Amino acid sequence: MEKRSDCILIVDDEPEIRRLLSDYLGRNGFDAIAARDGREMWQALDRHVIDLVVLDLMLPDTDGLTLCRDLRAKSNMPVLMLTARGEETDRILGIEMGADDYLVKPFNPRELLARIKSILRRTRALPPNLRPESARCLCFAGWCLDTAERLLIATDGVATPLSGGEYRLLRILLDHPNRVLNRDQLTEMIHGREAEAYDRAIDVQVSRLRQRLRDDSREPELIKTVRGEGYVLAASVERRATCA
Amino acid sequence: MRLNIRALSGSLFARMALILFLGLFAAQLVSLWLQWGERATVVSAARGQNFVDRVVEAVRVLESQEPSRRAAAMAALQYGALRVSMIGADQVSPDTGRRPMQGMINARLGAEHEVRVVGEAAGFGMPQRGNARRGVDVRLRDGQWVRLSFSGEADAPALSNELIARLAVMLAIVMIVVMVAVRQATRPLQQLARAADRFGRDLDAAPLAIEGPTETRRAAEAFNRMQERIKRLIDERARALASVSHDLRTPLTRLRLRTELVGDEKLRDQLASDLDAMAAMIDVTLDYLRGLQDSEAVRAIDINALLASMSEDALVLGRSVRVEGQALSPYTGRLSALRRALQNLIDNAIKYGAAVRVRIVDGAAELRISVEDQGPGIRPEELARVAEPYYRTDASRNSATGGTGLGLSIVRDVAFLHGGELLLDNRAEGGLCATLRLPRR
Repeated sequence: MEKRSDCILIVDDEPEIRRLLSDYLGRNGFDAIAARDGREMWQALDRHVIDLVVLDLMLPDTDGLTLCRDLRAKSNMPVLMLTARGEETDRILGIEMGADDYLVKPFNPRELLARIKSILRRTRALPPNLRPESARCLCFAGWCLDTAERLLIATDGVATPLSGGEYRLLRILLDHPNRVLNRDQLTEMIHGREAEAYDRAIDVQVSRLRQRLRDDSREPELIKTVRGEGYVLAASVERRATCA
Repeated sequence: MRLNIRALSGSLFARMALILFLGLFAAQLVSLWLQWGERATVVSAARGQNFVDRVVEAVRVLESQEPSRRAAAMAALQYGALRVSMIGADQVSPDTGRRPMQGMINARLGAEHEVRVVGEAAGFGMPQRGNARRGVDVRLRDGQWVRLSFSGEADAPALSNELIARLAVMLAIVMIVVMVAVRQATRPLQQLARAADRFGRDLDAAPLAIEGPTETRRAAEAFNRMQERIKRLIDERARALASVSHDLRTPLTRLRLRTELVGDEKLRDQLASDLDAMAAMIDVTLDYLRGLQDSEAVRAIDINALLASMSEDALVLGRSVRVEGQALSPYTGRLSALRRALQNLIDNAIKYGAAVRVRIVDGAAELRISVEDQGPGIRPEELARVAEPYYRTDASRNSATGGTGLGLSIVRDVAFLHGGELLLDNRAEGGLCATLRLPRR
């Protein structure tokens, strides 16, 4: 039996963009359905099995942020927001409203493909009931990870910026606290590829992250090494709406 | 120390205080001088009176004694400065006419006593300078002349230390009052200067409080109006440019999607890279405009982690950025503005000179972050201008890498926003060194 293609719902008020995006996603192995506004979006969600929504922020009537929030209130539907750079607050709000990721217009279509695949992979790596509800701040062991600004905040309020790799790794560890994740899983979730033999990339990432978290790499207390298995975040994670 | 004194004497406060001090000091000197003269007059008058008393006393005593006993009486009378001697008629001073002193003595002794003033003894009551002597020759009733004189009459006694101390204390007290008053009067000026400074860094700075004397209030009002006008002008310009840049996004997004339909792979890549360059220009323009009206909150930032994360992100793209040195403590600033500034410097360094080195030099007063490359550097005559908005060096204008001429302007604005500056220098070894100087506050 042929595997069902993932179905993407595109919500954008610009007809040309809707058409071009649908074509592009269609050519790249997705089923694409387009909606012009919130009303059409809800109709499409009722009629079709949708795997991910690509949601433009600027929409007539109901704006993308509100739609994203309403969508999240009802389901675990993954959402990728399309925003305009320059509206920093919109981006942050998008994350707070529960978007999984965001992309700035004009975007590279291949980047859009990569992000869609990455979100689908990430959401599927976790059993549905473990899907974390969205929250801007993930707090653990005296630290808070601000997922909108992508930085780590210490108890004393000092902001510790993270590289893209560090952020992705920490995000995955925080989504799976107290669960041992092996190198293959981590590599798959972070890089979207299988770990190669003797692949040390993850170990290097972990040691960097420990440094950021001031976790002693010889006797780590936060990110522990499980010999022969992988790594585990030994802390409870609390989700908060703000990092203040 | 020298700098300190110069800075002090340059301030309006110091000048006003100095002028007032000198004025007060001169006034004190004049009053001291007048007082001194007055005092000498009084002392001289008192001495003259005393002399007359003593003369009268001596004449009465001598007249009451037998001539044979006058020698002993004379000896008894000579106490203090008074000298008494018998003189012959040939020694008597010439008659110099009526003098006040003669009148006073005659008034006490009776007119039958002939009195002559000795030598040039000054008039009664005039201030006596030096060791001028007072002396009179008096003819007793029996015709005997007697010379009575005050010897070694001193100046008026020197001013007492106590008086001088009192004057000094008075001067000091007045001086303190003056300093407080001058400080009070110049404070609005300092506030104005501070407000102008603040406005330079932050367009949204709160307006000046309208208070104090009329002139101050009027200056504050004028300043607030100016601030309002400048802000409106900048806002309008930024809005216009932002909306144009913003509106370009939709057609660009369409174009970007359409390029994927182009079959010729080479052509498609070229189109894509042109579109990426256009998108980058819009981004940097919006970044620049936003930088001017940045309202980002200030927070403590781990600078070491910031640079390490940027270095790692560059590595993912296959670019090497080496970081040397450490910030000793978190820096309080605006994170995304700083990140944008450093990213621009690093991108520039990568574009023009392959190997990039970032050096952190931290101190109590300021944090310096230098980004060094090994490129061709910037011609000295262009160094001062490259940070101006939309200014591009010939090298940048002609190269395919392009650029908007805003990258360094953004960096400079971010530096200003933090009260610092952007320093550009060609290194002796070749290449450019761009330093972000950030004062710690």
